[in-house]
Amino acid sequence: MGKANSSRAATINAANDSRERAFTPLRLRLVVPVTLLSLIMAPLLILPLVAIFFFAGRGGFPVFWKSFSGAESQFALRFSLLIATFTALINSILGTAVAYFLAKYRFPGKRPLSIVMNLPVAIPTVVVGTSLLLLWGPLGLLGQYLDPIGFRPMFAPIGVLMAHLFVTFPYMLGAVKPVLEEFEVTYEEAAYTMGAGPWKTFWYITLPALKGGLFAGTLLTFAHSLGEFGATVMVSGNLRLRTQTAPLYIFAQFEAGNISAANAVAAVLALISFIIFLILIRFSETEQKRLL
Amino acid sequence: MSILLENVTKRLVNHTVVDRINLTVKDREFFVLLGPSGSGKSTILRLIAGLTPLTSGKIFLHGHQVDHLPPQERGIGYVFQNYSLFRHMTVADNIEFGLRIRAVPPSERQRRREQLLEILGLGGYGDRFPCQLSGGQQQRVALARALAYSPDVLLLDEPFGALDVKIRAQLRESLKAIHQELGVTSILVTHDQEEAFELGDRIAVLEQGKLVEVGLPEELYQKPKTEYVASFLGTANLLRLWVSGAMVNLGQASLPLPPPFTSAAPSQVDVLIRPEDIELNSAQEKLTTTCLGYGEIKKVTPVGPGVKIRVTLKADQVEFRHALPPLPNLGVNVIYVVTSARAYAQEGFRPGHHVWLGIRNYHVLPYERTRVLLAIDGSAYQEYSLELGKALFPALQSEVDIIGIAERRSEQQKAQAGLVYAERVVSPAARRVRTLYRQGNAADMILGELEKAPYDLVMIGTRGRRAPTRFKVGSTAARVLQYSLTPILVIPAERKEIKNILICVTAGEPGRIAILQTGRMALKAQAKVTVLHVVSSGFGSPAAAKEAPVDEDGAKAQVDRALQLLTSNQINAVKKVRSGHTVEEILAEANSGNYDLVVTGAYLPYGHSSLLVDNFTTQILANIHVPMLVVRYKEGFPRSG
Repeated sequence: MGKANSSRAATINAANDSRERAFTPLRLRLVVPVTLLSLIMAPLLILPLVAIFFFAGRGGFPVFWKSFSGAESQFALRFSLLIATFTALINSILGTAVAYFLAKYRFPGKRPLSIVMNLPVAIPTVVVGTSLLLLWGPLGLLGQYLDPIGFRPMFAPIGVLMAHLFVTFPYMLGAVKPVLEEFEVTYEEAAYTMGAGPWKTFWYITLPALKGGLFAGTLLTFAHSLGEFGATVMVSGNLRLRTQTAPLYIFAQFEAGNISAANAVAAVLALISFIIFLILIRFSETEQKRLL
Repeated sequence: MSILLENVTKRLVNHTVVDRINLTVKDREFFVLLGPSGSGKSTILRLIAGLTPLTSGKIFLHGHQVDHLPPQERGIGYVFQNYSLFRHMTVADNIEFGLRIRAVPPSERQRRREQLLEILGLGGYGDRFPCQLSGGQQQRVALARALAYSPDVLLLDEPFGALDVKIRAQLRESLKAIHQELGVTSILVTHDQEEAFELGDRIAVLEQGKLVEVGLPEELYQKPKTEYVASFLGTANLLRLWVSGAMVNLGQASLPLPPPFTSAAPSQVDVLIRPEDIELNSAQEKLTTTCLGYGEIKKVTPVGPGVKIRVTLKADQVEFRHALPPLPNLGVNVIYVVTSARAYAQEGFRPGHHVWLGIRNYHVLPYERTRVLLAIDGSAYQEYSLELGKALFPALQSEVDIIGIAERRSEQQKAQAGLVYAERVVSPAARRVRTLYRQGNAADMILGELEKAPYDLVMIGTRGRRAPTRFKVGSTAARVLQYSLTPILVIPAERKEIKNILICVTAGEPGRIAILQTGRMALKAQAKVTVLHVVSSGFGSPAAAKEAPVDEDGAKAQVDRALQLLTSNQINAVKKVRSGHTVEEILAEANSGNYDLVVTGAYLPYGHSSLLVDNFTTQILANIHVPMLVVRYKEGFPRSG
């Protein structure tokens, strides 16, 4: 009887609960801020994205395809993807090496160095571009000596790559370094005692542990490189079919009044970024689950 | 011999973590390094493994010198406290890792892996990831992983430290079984005595990076050679006793000294009585063993199958109190007794009952170490004390407590900086160094420490603000002497070594023990001893001389006895006789510049409640320019046979 009683009590309680929850004052109180927030966020974040796809699709698919498959837009997109791929690859190696060095060794000047390494995040990208020009450009600090030999990195694909490496470096470092810092030295030591040399230890033990950070860092770098504008516009000279990246193409077409051409590429860029973003979210969720 | 360490030393910037360790581990032996945290035991293991570079010394594994080799080439298996299993690999991959590195064919790897999983009771767990296992299982995997490639030596660094008691016991069992089956030479590092005793074929006890003692478990427990091991292992009743003849005076009992000790042995010994070697009875006649005395039961604590009883010995047994200065952690006159719970219940003892104590078994330890209290204040005298300390501490096997005293709050920083500095200077010379910071009057602070723990020597390197300039050093010392029986070393001048010692035996004659202690110090420092006898014309004033007529013949006999005692111990000693005013003559001889240390005695009037220092000692203290050791003595103390 006691059991029946208690179960009935539970049912009543549950009913009470749900009724209470429906009219809870907390819920009511939430309605106002949520609405306000949505009203502010919508024009800032959501609607612009909608607008891109709206304009890109306005002329129907033929118009989109024509703009998309044009030589210039094709070049710009492919060039951007190529640069982003190289940037991501080079920085994943460079970033890991630097992160390893910063996390494992103690040396004088380590703190200033790690601040400098992260500086590109704080500097406006246009300034980064300008500084690269002032160094490597034909009249730059180094460039004036390199120019006669024929090494002219500025206004060339290599210059774009340099700018992108510079700008995205901190993202890679930021993704890998914390993982390395948490990675206990005893794992490596355990491998040593079992006969694994430093390289084998890095390959079999350290690198697999870094996998997550490396993956996230590479994707972030790729995404940033794909959208990079400020430094690229300074360094590339915005030369059509030579150094024009997708964002530069969008800007140029927009300025020239070819809204539909700009929109087609913009939509594609937005889509790629969106996919990368989804992968990252998905990844970080599984990563968290794995750790729990 | 499987593992051989020769003078293995690891030094950090200003701290020696592992200090000249010599060790031999036999083939197939299970060896345990036991010590409290910070004793350097894990560092030794890391040095053997090659995970930490050696400062100096040699390491041999199976006859090959390995200290220059990287860890990969040493052929060791290492189990870490935090398991350090590779999280991205399955259990099977973890175990096979060492074999894969050695390019062992997959079939062979698999065979070995299955065998190890079977031995460790992990059958069927091969496909799991470390995060899917419990702590105990993870440590088993770590063990299997370290054993997979059949290393010559297995090193275990507190492997069970992070596990709960029950699993720990299970793992100990498995580890023991595995060791018997595979016979791999092993070293286990632990701070857990139970673990050490259960697993170790032999145990090495470490303290502050130094190897204190190595031996069989039961040997270390029952017959330790050092006070440290005696008190570190289990519960110890350690009593510091005087020897007379060939007997130790233990309360009401006189016990014969066991074989290694003879009557010429040190005049003071430590006697170890384990709690289970004490018999309790309600009447003295019913005791079946040598009676120690009686006391009151203060506290009863159940421990496993037995009970631990705290007995406070009766204070009216004056002999007892004088003869047994207990270790500080036991408190005054407290003895621990462990007896079976059933025996306890039968007797019907309760806290508050009075009981007689008998000794079933005892062990005598040489009393060799000296506990030194070094008082400093950041002044120039501190420098003198440290310099002398560096020379003295190795000879005295000193455990040094440095007390930094600031007389005012404003001097706190100076005193604390002085402490840090002093610790760094003294550490290499002492067996152990601790630092304490106190604020207040120097003498009061020193006396406070002397009350808390028994010291064998106080070194005073402070100025003493209240004193007039002329009495700077002496005043603190004199005040400490007023209230304490501990010998005091005052250092008003710089001495870097002790080569010449002056012992003044006239007037304030130091006792036999002081002479012997000084003698031992002289022997170790290879110093020359001069025994000074002043044919006195008085203590200070002619009037005083009349009041205390000097026994000329007695004094001469005393000098000769001292000389004989020293020379019989192979100490280079000579006699010197001066005549005149005692204080003046002693000061003249002491300050002549030939001596590094002057030893005098300060007479303690027997039966007086205060410990008044005679005028003689105070006068010398105030005017001496040489380090001076003042030993308090009392008529008939110690009672010599």
